Amino acid sequence: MTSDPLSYLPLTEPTFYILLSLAPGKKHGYAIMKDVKDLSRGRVNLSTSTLYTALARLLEQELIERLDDDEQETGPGLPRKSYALTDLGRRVLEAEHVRLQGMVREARLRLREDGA
Amino acid sequence: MKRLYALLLYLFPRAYREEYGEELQSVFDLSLDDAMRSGGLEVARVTLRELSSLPYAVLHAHLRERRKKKMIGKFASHFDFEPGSRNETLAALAPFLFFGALTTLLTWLKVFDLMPLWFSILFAVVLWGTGLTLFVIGFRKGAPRWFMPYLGVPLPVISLIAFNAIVNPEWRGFPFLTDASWFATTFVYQGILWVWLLLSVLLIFLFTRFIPRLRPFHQRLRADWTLLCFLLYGAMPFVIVLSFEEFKREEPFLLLSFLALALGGWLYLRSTTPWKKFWSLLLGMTIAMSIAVMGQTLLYESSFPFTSFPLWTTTLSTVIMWIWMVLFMFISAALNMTAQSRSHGLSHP
Repeated sequence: MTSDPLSYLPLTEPTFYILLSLAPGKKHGYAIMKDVKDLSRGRVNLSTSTLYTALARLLEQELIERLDDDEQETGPGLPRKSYALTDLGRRVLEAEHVRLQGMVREARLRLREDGA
Repeated sequence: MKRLYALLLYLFPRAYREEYGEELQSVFDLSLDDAMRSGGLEVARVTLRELSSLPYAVLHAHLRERRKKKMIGKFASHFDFEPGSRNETLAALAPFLFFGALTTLLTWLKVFDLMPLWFSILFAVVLWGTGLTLFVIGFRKGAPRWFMPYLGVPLPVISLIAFNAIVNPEWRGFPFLTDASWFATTFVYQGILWVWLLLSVLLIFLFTRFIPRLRPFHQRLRADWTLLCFLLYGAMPFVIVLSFEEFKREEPFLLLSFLALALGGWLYLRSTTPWKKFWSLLLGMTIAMSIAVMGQTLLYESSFPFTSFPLWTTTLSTVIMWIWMVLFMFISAALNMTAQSRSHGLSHP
């Protein structure tokens, strides 16, 4: 896997939200699913299998890591694995943030020009 | 519905199911429980969402497994060892167990004429072939953890070459050592001999930083500061052999020293915290050197019956060697830890 964050860009919307969901700290699958829905204001509503397809790919790309949780930490019925951003994952997320900011800035300038 | 989903999970490839099956079921159950609290319509929506996305996920998982199998088909992928697995341990400890202990054992058998010549030649060919193959594979695989001692093995040779280039017959020695004690002189000369080990480690650390292809390796070195120490540990078999230079019948002690080094390596691979790993290596190194000193003491008279040098000069020389090695271990660890804290400081101001 390449360690250059720019080579992972642009991120798809679900991938961006999954990484963003893990930015504050580790989460288990169901928490990610709910958080992605909240973050995207209901636009990205992942199914279980789609979420795990994405998580498996992100693990392969070493953007996230899988951690063992004890049952006390997660509570009964919740998955005993959680996911966390790796250093590379965080750098990719930051790079995507910068890229999106640039796009928004350009769009704002152009739209202002058109409006003027 | 939950039971149906459990059955549908069998559509995924077995390896994928074993890895994620339990989580998939658990997350599905939680989604359904939440939906049930919101009413029948929400249950229908969740069920539809889950069922409609399943075919793509199943297909994707099968393609992923196929791709993995194709990779496994390649020879080198047999060396993708899981950290802490038996295969990783065997590969990492090979320089101490097979190339060190086993070779010594067979040399010992040869001394007593218990092994035919053809067998020692065949053994040497197989051993060197295996060693070289593992070196090339480890290098091509981006220097995984098990490969670290292999990188350390050739470093003492570099040290010896550099030392011989400095301390040549024309060299008059350091003027400040003319009136120095035996201990000070030996300490400095041992330092000149072994400092190249540390410089080589420093060069590896710096080179990997600036060569883009080697950057991932550099990042791993920074992520786990004990890796450089494990690399340095690979130099120990040669150091031990050198401490028995010109001794006779040293094989039993060499064998025990190599086994002690293997023990240190094994503890390193089993340890979970960086400091435990570090102390494991120091322990292996210390036991191995202690055995060497013990061997020197017991074999000195029979090996050098006419020498005028007292025994303590040899044993103390080995102790000085140990002091330098321990010092290098600490410097390698400190170098990496400093680099780590500096990078953390930069990324999170």
